[in-house]
Amino acid sequence: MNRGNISGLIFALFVLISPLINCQTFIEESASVQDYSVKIVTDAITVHTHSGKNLDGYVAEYEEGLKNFRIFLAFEIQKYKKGDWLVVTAKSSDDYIRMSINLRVESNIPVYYALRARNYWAVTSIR
Amino acid sequence: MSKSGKMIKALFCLAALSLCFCRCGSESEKSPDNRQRLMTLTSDYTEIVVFSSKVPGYWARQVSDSEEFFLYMQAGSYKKGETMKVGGVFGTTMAAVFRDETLSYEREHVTNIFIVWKAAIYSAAKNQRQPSEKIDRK
Repeated sequence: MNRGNISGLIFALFVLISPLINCQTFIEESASVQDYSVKIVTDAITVHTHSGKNLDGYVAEYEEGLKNFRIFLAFEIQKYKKGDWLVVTAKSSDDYIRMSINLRVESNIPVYYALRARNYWAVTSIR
Repeated sequence: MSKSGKMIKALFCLAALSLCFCRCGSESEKSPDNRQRLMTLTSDYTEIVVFSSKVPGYWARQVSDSEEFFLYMQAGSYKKGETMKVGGVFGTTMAAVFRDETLSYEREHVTNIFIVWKAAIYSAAKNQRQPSEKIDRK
């Protein structure tokens, strides 16, 4: 087999495999990105995460199956206020922060990256 | 040389000369400063974030084709709705943006950023430009 044939074979393999790689990436992305209806419970803060990143954002609460969950939403621009209700498309991560809110015991709060956010009232048009 | 050969040679010379004339002109004519565009401001002074850096400026729409740009410039006495004549260069990037009108946020928004070197308020009624105001960017 000459060099031309080998490179042709590699190219063909790449063409065949590339859609599978894309599918895998798509599956991973779709699994970690989700919409949440959240209430912001802190003012804009800067936190130091477990993995060593400094992030700006808010701690937010959302309800799922009669349970309240707290997450840290990282925003690059902080224009929202404490008490705002948002519909957020956020990407989860393996990272977390440790903090206590309202004198509760310090706990791990997972870090999410906000990709899109809209005011809840603007989305539902109830205002 | 045959007659047709001379004709072809003459045509080539003519084409080369016309290309030369097209490229001639003073340096000031070719500078990006002079490629000015009319923009209508669609926001008050705001900022976006590009690669974790805050970029100040205004949102604007180009008058000719309504294409949206973010004008990278310092705060001036400009207001939403005003038409401006701006000179500079532009490029496209992914930026985190917050829209004050809709209170919406987007982290990876494809944004046309216009880096403004010169800006002046454009008065359509008088159809004249007010004295240009140079902007000293940081």
